[in-house]
Amino acid sequence: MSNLLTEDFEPSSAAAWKQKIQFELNGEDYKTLLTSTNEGITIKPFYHSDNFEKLEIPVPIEDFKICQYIIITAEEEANKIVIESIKQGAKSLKFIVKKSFNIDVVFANILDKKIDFQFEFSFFSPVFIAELAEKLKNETVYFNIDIIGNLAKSGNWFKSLNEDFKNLETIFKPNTSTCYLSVRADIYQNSGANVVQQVAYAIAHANEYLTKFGGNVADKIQFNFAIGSNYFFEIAKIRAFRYLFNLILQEYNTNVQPKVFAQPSLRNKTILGAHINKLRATTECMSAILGGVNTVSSHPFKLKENNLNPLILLKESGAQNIATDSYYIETITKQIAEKALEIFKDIEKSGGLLNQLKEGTIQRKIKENAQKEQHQFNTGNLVLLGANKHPNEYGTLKDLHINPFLKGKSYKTLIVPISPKRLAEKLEQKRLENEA
Amino acid sequence: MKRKDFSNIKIEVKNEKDSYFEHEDYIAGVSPNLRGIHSTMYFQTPLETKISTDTLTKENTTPEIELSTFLAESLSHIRKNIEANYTIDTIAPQLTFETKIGKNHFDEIAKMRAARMLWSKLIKQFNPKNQRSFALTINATVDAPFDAFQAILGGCQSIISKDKDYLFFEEEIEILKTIDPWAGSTYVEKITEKIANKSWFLFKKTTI
Repeated sequence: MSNLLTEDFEPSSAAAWKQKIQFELNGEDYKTLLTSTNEGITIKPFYHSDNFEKLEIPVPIEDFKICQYIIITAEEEANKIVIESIKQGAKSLKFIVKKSFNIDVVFANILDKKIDFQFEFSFFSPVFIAELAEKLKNETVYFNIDIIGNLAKSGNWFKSLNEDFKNLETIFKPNTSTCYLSVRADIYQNSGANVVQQVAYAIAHANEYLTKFGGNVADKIQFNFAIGSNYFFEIAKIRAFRYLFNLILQEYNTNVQPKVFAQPSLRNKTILGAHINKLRATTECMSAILGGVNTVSSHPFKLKENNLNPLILLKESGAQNIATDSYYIETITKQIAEKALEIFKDIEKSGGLLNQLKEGTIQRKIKENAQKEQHQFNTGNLVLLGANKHPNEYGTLKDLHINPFLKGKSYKTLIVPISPKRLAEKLEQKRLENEA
Repeated sequence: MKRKDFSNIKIEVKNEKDSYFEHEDYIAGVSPNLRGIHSTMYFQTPLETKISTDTLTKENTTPEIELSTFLAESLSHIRKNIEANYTIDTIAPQLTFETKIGKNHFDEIAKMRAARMLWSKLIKQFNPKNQRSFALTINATVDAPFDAFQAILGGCQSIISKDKDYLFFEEEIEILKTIDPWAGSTYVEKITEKIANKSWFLFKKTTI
């Protein structure tokens, strides 16, 4: 029963509302209420059921999981942390692996507990992965090998194009549910690509694997996204991605629920005001969850109870469906999908993502958008509290005991690497020099 | 495998919602102001913010009890003033909804949306001449920065907080670009309807 209003009032149309706005504006242009984004999308002051548009988004069936990171340095200690995490209810763990380790020690007494095991390797050893796969054959495992992402990020293959692809083939085993591959779309976000570019590149990136290995590999890929600050656009980004991935899979006569892993962007984090970073990380995790990711992690930000609670509450709400039929989110989801599809088609027409990486096209496009964002930050149109607004109210750099700006040595690369860059970096460096 | 040709793939746009609630098209700027105090709420009257060091004493209660109490108190205030020969158009703008924001994100958003609906329904019976009387000003008190998130998304006119961290939600995440951004969502509209119906029922029960 919803006649509370209908018995007293008449409904009003989008046209009537717009007219009312124009009246209230008192001669000022309606256009002043529109917001243009770097994606080329215009946010309207209101959305209404009269101009409703949506895509049918394949929403994940399973509830989302919150993932915890474990860096493996000493095996026994890592094992203890895992056991403790499982005791506290962890359902998904991600191991950061810098070198091979004693598998039996790390995985002692933690198997067969319905835990997702995620890995992030900084090397690619097919032999080690085969050993791990054997040990974990009855577990849910994500190896997250991304030879193309590694090329994009570092500028080099692990060994060479041919050898990297050959090594991938050796670790694929048919008839297992193990998820070997990943598409590291977070690389694009953290270096400054906009939402539309990220979706387009993620799909073009995946299509390189599909082109090489065929449609059967579609459910062996996990997509990694970094979530930025534009709350509703980030929700729409994940939804648009889910839609488009399925659309291109139709060309391979297959259909899968893409596995999506998300974590907060590093781009908008500041050294000042660590507690603001936690608010940023929390809302970014919320965007991810409402967009319909399968797994979310706040890493490297550790969220305490008061920040985690909003996420846990979402669990009880069937979070992945909440955005359905929202005028605003459905509209921008459709717009993002449309624009990303155009970019994807262009990339494919010119020979695919790998080709555009070699030519430097992707790098150039990302740089263009990154510079636009940097300019917006420098001129105060893009705000980061503690950095370019209210700089003295969220702590000082004197609290720092380490220099956070150390850069690695430069080395020779095959292609121009796509490097992450924080918006506040330069400004903070300057402040550090001034305060020293 | 040969590279596929994607030049002909197309997205398929639907124009129908899966769900539709009767109250959806009762919108801001045109009575009964379901979706905000102004048709252009954020743009013409920027969010007002206050820092308060006072201890926040307001009790946490269910949205339904909070709303029905607010309606009952408003009604009694209006009746008293009408007896004293004031018009509804002078009484209504003096009343505001002072609400303490709770932890349940979407319930709080729905609570503020329902408050606007029920307010205009309450005011209607007094036949105001001024459209503005149908619009409700909502002042939100938050005791943790995160609560400001739901306060803004629900469409409050001001935020009262102990510190400045809540500014994050105003400054960084682009949620003030469009009015009532969760409108239409099946989930949010459903709770809005539920809270509105239950609150009105409780209000009627206490005032008859």
